[in-house]
Amino acid sequence: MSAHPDAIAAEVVTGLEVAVAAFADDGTFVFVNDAYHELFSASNPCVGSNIHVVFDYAPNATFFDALLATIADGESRVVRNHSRDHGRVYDNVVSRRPTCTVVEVRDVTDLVREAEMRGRLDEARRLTWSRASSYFLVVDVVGQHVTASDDLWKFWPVEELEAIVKDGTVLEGINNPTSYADPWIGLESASDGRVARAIAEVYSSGLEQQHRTVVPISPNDVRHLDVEWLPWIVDGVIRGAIMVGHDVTSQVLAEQREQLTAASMKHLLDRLPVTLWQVAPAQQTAWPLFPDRREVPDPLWGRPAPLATTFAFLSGESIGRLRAVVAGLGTGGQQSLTVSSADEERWLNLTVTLVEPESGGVDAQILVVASDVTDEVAEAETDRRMDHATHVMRFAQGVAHDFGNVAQVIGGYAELLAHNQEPLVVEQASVRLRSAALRAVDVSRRIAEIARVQQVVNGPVDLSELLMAQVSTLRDEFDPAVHLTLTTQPNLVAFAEALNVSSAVENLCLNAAEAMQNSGHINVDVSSIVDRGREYVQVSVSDDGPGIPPEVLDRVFDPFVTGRPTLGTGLGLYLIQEYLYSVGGQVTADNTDQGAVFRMRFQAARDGQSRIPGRPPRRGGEGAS
Amino acid sequence: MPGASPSTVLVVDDDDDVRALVVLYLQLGGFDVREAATVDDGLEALAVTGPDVVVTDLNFGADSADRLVRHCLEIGQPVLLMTASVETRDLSPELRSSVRILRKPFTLEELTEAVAQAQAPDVGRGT
Repeated sequence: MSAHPDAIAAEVVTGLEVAVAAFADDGTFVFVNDAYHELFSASNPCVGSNIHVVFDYAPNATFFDALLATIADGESRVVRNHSRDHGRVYDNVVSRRPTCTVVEVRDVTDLVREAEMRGRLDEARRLTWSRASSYFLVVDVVGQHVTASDDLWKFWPVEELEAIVKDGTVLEGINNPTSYADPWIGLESASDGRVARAIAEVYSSGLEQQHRTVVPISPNDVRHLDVEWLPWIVDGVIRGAIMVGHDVTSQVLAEQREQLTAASMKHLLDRLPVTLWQVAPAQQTAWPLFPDRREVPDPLWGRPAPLATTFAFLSGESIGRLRAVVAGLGTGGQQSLTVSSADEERWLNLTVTLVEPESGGVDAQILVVASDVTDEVAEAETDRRMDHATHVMRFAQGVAHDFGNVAQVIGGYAELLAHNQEPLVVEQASVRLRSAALRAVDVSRRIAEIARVQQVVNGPVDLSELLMAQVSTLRDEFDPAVHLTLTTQPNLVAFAEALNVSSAVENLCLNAAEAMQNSGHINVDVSSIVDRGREYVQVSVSDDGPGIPPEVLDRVFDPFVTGRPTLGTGLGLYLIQEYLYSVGGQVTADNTDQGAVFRMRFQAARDGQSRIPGRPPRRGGEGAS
Repeated sequence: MPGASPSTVLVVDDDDDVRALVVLYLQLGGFDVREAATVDDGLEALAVTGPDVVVTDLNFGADSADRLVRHCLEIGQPVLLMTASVETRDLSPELRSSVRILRKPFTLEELTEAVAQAQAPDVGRGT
């Protein structure tokens, strides 16, 4: 005890139990009370008999050297420490003065305990109650087992625990230490020692700490817990840790899903845990389209899939489209599309599915089930062509009929007039011959139109934009009692020719208005649809008129068929159908509860696509051109 | 020339020009003529008039003359079918053997003869 009294100063705080220690500049530590009591009394009358020695924890010079190195002259700092023997807690107010360092020691045990209890309870309450699904337990310092010791109950009264712990089974476990421990031992082994390490960290730090980690409980029951460790302190000594575990499984899975979407999907696809399956529906067999990828069990029928060398089956363009579709999918999403290969044009119906990631990982599988629908498509195409041929034949018959009638009228009156010039005959002949001449001109004009619709260039046209403009124009032409409306969405691009589409829609609207006797509602709807894996833009014209007469319905697109005896040659709908055939589309007529509806389907155009996709599949051809 | 006069003929055709000509032809040929522009009107006139012969067109536009022809066959009503079509293969064999068919263009004489033959009990093949 060699510190020079002159080098010592002291500050005293009243109202608390305070012990004062002093340091000489040489770093020597002195108990004020013992050696320099007289000195302090002389220099500061406030220091006196109320001071008693509680500073019995024997800190050494190293402790203070390290501390003082961080404190500048004129600065004060509070350092909390715990008595090892008495279970007391002290705040050491360390102040560096120009000539010495003063440490005020305050016994704050009661304050700390009260605050700790209140704070822990509040915190635990907040943590367990602020989330949907949380667990709560206390583990001892050994870090292996949960202890429901008397010490625990001292700080955590039963009623408080009951209030905090929401899960009834866990609460029951707390009352029965053995059963309580079991599930968490399972957690410990499954968490790969992380629980023990977390407790060790808490224990060794000696200071208040929270530790957060995600613990998968077991491989079979993948639950993710967000764990917080709060030191469990009794009498100033860390006796264990309070673990608050929040079940964040759904949140973790959602985050993993998030990682799977959009941008990361492309990366995922490039790494290709993608399995492309080609499926022959009739044989109920499937094989991967990418045999160089790892073999996985057949997802459809549970047996190993036979390998087939069909990697070259899909063209680069198709793979690109496939990837674009997958990139827009979420986990579990499905979408169908039709693709073709470079060397052999085949049609596949692809169902793309994102399979949930394995536990804890983001390594989702992208499963593509491909059904070969080439035969169906070819069959449909054949049907379509045969329909077309039938229609051409009917058209020819219609023309023959109409010209036959014209010839009959002309020839008949010529014959009559040769023998009979009675005023009645002459007058009637004059009227009817003129009518026949006009009909002949009209029919020939329509025939020329058919040739024209087969030749027009059909580029991608935004039908929604086109018809928005047209409907507003048409509206002005109709009787005010005809309400013409349009329902659509932007960017519905299809292979079509604007003039023909406009003409068809105008024709259908005029027919509808006439059927409704110029009073009622006509709606033009433009929408995107998918049928048998093909994307179309559908333009529907519906009315609330009397509908199409049942006897005409199935022949309404035949040439020279008209539901109205007075109007036209009946070529309008036929021409619409011809036009749609020429662009790989189709038109249908139906009656609804309200009236009639005509639906025109145009092949949807994708970005960068400048030609109509080839219609008939070419087997073993030289490639898509 | 009509075999028996004045016979009653019902002309059913949706083509106004052709119907007017046929009616005129038959009137000039001495027939008592009724006319209808639709199948429904034709069936009604058939019931009211009870004509000796029905003359109608094979291609009847929107509505099919089939309904009218079949009804006539059922009730034993003589029918004469006019057609401008080159082909008659679309006709059912039953129809081809049961009705008289007259191809367009036809003359006044051909028409009146065909009507007269249709009226006769032994129906022959079309001309």
